[in-house]
Parts: sequence; structure tokens; C-alpha cells
Amino acid sequence: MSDETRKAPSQRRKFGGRRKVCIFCTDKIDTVDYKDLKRLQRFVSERGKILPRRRTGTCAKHQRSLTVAIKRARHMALMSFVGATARN
Amino acid sequence: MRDRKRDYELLFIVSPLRSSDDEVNATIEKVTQMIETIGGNVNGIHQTSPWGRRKFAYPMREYAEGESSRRIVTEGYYVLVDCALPTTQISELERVLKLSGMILRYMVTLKATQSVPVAAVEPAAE
Repeated sequence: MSDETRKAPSQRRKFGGRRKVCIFCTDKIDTVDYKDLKRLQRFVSERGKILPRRRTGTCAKHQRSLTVAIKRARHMALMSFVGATARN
Repeated sequence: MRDRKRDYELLFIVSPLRSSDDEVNATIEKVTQMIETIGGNVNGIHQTSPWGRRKFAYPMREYAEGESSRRIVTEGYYVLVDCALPTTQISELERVLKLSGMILRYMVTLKATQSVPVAAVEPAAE
């Protein structure tokens, strides 16, 4: 504990900048809605894959809820399984 | 407690092969009747702006009568229904939706209960 506090901030996080904060927590969203496509779109890669927590900074609770929402959206053909720009 | 009602959202896609205005209305009518026969009530039907006719994110294939291969469809008619359903009847509703030839896909989800304190709501209802 004391060891950690003594380290300079740059040493504590070796890679990348500041710690990201969960967007759903800041927006006070309890469970992620599968119909909220604008929001969901930011959490998938160009290929349509769900981005990992380390990329997006969502907390564990919301990441779980998010994956369910994305999968529901895919089932209803609201989101693509294979990427938004794969076909034209 | 046995037939407790909860708020659900039902989103379904009317089969694009049968989505003239009349058939869409007939399907919606059928679904609302179904909800009422199992003892639920419909609180709202949305088929405007994000819903209604809408392009799919990916093509689907659907059985068309008299064709050997399934037809590829790229858009459908989305309808979102807000309803309160008895919790024991969900599987029955899903069974009927599944058997219905008019409905391409559906999704029944529990509505997110906004974090209203339980105590604040309950006494008035009882």
C-alpha cells in the first residue's frame, strides 16, 4: 500500500494515459438498452466485435450488461455480426 | 403472487414477405389480442421513427411458400410494444410468436425498472 503511493503516477500506469471511467456509470445508466444503437456502436470494433474493457474503460458490471445488449441488438438485426462497413 | 405482472417490451419484425399495410395492422392486432388473452395489457405501440420499416444490419433468409430456396430479405417492419404481462405467461406468448408465420423475429425483454425506491411505490398500490 505504502509502496504504491510512493510511486510516481507515471510509474503506476506503465502504458497509456489516464485511467478511463465507465461511461455508463457517469451517465447513471443501470442496465444497457439494446435499442440504444448510437451508444452501443461505440463499443464494437469496425469488424463488429465487442471491444474489451481495457479499450473502452467500462466497469465489469456494465460490460456484462453491454455484451447482452449488443447480442440482443444483433439478433434483431439492429447491429451487424460482422462489421458495419463489410458490405455495401 | 402467482400471476404477478411486470413490465415488458416486445420488439418484433413483421415478415417482409407479408408487410403490406393491411397485413402489418392485422399482425399488430393479433399480437395485442394475444397479449390480452393471456391477461396482460398493452401500454403503447411504437412504429414510428426508429421503428417501422427499417433496413436490417445483415440480410436474412426467409421461407417463402412455393420456393425451393429461401428468399433473401434485407428489410422488415419493426414494431415495439410496451406491455405488462403476467410473469407466468411469457413462455406461452413466446410460443405463439414463434409459431406465427407473420413474425420474422421477436424479442421479449424486461423493462429496466428505474431505480425507484420500492417502498415509495408499493403502499399506494396495495
